Amino acid sequence: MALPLLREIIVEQITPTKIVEYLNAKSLQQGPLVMNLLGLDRLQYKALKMFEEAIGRDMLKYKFPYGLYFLSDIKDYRGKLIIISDKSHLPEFFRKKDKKPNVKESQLLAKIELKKLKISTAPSRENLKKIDNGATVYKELYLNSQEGNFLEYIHEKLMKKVR
Amino acid sequence: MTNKKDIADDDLKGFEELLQDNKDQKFMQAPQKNKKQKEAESGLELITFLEEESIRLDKLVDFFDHKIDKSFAQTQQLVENQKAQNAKIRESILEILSQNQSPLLKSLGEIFDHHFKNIQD
Repeated sequence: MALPLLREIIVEQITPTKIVEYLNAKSLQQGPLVMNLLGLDRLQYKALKMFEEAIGRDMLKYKFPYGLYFLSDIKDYRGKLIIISDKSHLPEFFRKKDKKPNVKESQLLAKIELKKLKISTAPSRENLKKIDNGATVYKELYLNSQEGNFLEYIHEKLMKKVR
Repeated sequence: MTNKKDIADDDLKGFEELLQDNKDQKFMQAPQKNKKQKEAESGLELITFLEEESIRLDKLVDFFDHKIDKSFAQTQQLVENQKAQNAKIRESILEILSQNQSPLLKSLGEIFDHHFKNIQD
């Protein structure tokens, strides 16, 4: 059993078969994964597009139980993938020294494996839809609150002028 | 009457030499950890990490099993409330702006007066 630590995959080829290989479900179950696109230079946009297509609508499946990150120097990306420009932005929690677990640690790892299995079935289509819809409603609430703040600001200013 | 400085100096009598000897040394140096201690600490670090990870996964399981339905239940209602409140404020703003002596009409009047008076002249 491998420790759930951050691992890195250096993306060198962006053929459809290779992309599917990179997104191997087993490696995503082990721990958080970083796809290093920096070596692709100008092909980084294309690579992100291909990853987006391969992930498709199951985006949240790649967030539970562990996240999928893309290391890239693209600044103006507007998509659902998590892009980081530097490895220091990765979650500190999963950055530990890899070592062979002892007996006690192995027991804990076995428990973790069971929980991972349970979670891997949790992001069902229904649940993913709920989270996606929830996120849309939260965004709507945020935008409406912003508008409310703006309107209140104008109203307050006008009231001061009228008085 | 003796002042505080004299008392302090008197208290240190006999220790001057010792203090002088230790002046250049660092006070209370941390004990050097040997290899065994370091290994024990890193072992604890890994166990702590695994325990925390286990708790994190428990919370995720709980979220998917129980909390997911409750989490977004009230949000739609909050959006509706916010929309109603925004509409109310918008109405109030329009009411203020449509009054004869409203700041908007005053400013527009000033702009028109300035522009058209120049043209008439």
